[in-house]
Amino acid sequence: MKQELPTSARKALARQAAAEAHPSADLLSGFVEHALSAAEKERVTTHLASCAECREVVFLAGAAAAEEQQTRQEHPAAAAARRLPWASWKWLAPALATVAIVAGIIVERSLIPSNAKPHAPASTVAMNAPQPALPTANNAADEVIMKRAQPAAASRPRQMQTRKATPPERETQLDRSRAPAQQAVLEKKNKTADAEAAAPPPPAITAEAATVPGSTVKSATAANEVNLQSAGRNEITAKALPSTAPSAAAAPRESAKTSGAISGAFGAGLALARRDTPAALRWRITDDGHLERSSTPGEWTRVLAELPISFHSVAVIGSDVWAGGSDGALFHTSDGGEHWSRVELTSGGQTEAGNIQSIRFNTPLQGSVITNSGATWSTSDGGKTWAHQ
Amino acid sequence: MAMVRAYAAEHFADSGAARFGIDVDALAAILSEVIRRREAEPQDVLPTLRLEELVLARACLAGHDGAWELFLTRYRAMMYEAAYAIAHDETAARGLADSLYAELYGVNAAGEARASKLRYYLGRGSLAGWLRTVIAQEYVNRYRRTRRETSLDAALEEGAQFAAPASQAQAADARVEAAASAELAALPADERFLLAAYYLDRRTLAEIARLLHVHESTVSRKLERVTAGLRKRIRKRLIGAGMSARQADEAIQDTDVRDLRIEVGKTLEQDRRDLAFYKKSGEEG
Repeated sequence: MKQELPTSARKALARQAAAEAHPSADLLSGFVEHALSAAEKERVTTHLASCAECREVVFLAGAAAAEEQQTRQEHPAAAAARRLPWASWKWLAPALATVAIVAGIIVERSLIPSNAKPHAPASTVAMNAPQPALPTANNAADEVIMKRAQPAAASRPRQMQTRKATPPERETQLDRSRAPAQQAVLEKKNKTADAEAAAPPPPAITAEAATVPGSTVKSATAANEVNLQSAGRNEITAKALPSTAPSAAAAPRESAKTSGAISGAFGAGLALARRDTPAALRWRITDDGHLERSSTPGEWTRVLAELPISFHSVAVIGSDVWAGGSDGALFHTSDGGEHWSRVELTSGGQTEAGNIQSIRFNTPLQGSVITNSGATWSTSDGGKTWAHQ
Repeated sequence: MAMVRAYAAEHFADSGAARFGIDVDALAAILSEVIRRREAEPQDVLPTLRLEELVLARACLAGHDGAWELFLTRYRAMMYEAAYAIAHDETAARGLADSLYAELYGVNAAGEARASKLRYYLGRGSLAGWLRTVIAQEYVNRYRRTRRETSLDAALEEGAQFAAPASQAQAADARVEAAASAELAALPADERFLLAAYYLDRRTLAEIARLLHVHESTVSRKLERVTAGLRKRIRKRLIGAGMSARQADEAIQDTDVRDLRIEVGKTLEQDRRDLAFYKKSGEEG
């Protein structure tokens, strides 16, 4: 600007005070969206010229709209990740602790000569397979967490290295992390895994811990977890990390409920769950209450469509998927939706019949369900038993 | 009313009212109420009305479960995104979005009749835009409330400066201020809005351009033109009030030391405000 406003004029401008009440949000939003009539626009503009508060409101609202649009267009994955960012914080400490411990084990085991470690072919086969329960290197959620882990500066470089490792690197790291004595047990477990893979698929799941079809990967991973000293920790890393971020291949947001395993504000349901399910499945609930899954971008298949249920919420935690809807209907699957079991929300003779609005699982075992009546049901054993609050 | 009834009948299917149990007569009643509250003629309101979103808002207001499900599906995530975009702080964003949801749902402690904020949505702009604006209003309210509660010591620490008693020199500027006020008041509202946004709020040209849906260069040119014209008219008014041309030029100079002090104070205050939000985010990181 070549011209400057005279100070006297600036003071006079600041002295202006709006004589009338603030315009309604309806008018201000109409101003932001250029949806006002000429008379309304003149009235609102006159007010805005002399009201700093309303000017701030319209600038904030306008900037928010522009930011949402821009984020949606350029970074749909980031937008989805930021939708429920606080959900990742509660897991920051255990996640960092897990990563630090795993990194320590890796360093420790890397000092052991490689010829001291028996290498089982079965293990390699199993580890080459996709590992849904392990941290996904390209997962945006990991990126978010790592960016927020800056205070732990001392351990950060190692964490970054560990978390961003490519699948082959992870395989090597995990191999190195096994003690020789553990390898023997691992071989046994992997043989079991191979046997499972060769066997025909088991029947549909009726219990939460049942083995799922096509579970070679799962079994192998479980074996690794069992045999690692950090078995439990690996499980936590994989499954207890906040499921708020989409996979790298997350498609632009569609007209569907979107969220991860942990529902967002308002205690309501969620939908587009996108991580760690077998074959990178994505889930959503349509506007008309249908549960859908997708393994190919843009192609959605209805699930449980034969049931007269209007779904409101879906949550994914690790390989477990929970879906809830009308009349207290709650379903669970551990195999990407091939087999479902209906879970009754019942406690002390009381059975929930309201609409399930929100499902929230922090770990595969601990979660809660909120209904439209405001009732909260919680479980700490993966849905086998529920407590009504 | 016949016009409203005809409009309701014509657009009934598109409005989605049927799925919420709203018939044509009820829809016409909603439209009539909106027109009355907007203090406008039906022919001015109806063509630009966001009918489908208005119906959804009214169905939610009436407590229709299906409407609430649809509302949450469409706007829940958007509300958080908007709150975050406005507050740039996760905790504040969650607080804003949660409190708005409670106000929208309209449940009070006594469990009495709903007093949902949705009744204030009159379908001018989109429902999403209205929600963003309500969140922004709440944010500004909270922020101002916080600022008002700041103690004098804190204000001093923040670099606030307080005006000295008016000097004779300031009193002598009364003619300048009167001229400036008169010329400002004569400006069209949009030009005063532009000046206030740029010079008082220190909005950037890009921010103003985005809000007004024009190009940045358009805003720049208009500001240049309005500012130059204002200076010229103030100078002319001062000369008309008896000042010499040189006195008038000096009067509208921006080199007054007192003004510099004020500007520095304002700048510091602005910087502190930004810093406070930054710190808030950082502490939680």
